[in-house]
Amino acid sequence: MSAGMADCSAYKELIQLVLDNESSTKEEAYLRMHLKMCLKCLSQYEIDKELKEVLKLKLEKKQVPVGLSETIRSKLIQ
Amino acid sequence: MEQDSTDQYFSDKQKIAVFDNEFMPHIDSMYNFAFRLTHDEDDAKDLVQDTFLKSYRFINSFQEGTNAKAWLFRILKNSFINDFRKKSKEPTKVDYQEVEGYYNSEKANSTITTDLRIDTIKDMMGDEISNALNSLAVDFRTVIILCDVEGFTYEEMAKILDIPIGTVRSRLHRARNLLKEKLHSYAQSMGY
Repeated sequence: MSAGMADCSAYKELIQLVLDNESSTKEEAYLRMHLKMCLKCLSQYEIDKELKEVLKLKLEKKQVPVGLSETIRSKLIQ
Repeated sequence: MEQDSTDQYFSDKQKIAVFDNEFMPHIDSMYNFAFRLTHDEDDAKDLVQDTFLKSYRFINSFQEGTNAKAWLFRILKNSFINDFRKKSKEPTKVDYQEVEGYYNSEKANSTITTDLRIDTIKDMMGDEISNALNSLAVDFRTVIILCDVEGFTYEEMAKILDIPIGTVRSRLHRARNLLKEKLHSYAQSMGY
């Protein structure tokens, strides 16, 4: 990663890696340093973080239909 | 799932034990994944049942101690593509190749900028998020579900989807950009 990233596009991918726990410690430190200086990337980071949380917490969870596991289990023996 | 030298051989009793202890506990996530793929309760039920029966039939190719959830998700995803999508009630969506081709283009990458605000996301209801997610092509929807809802790592996703990690990464990035665009236009239409 060079210093000449005026449009910050490479940071956008790095933000996702960090939020997904897929970055190295070095990469994360690199991003944290940048976020102190770049409001645009900081707000991008906050948005991506919120979106990830909302997907995890707010999506409706369906209940498994009653009797499905018993049906499956009974078919194994046949 | 061909038989090969890495296969384990379980007795019938062991098979049932592995099935009950390692596979069945994932039925909840599997059903939710199936429902998000098919958008239909009966279809989801059939897909889950089919996946579990296959997992039992091919249990010798499951390596004990490895990630059963990822293994099951892979079978489910393959069943969905191979057996299910053909007879699905859902009308055929835009072919993925076409979509990925478009979003790989320079034009698309440069125009994806969203003015989505953090408060907008915070205020959204589960239904709105759900609708936006469901409007994405199935391959984009899938990576978001696997990563953000189910918490799989990129490496696990690569195995489940049979694609390289680099593709997982870029597909996820595009999927999220598309989702943000959907949420943004939804928010605008609601006058937020």
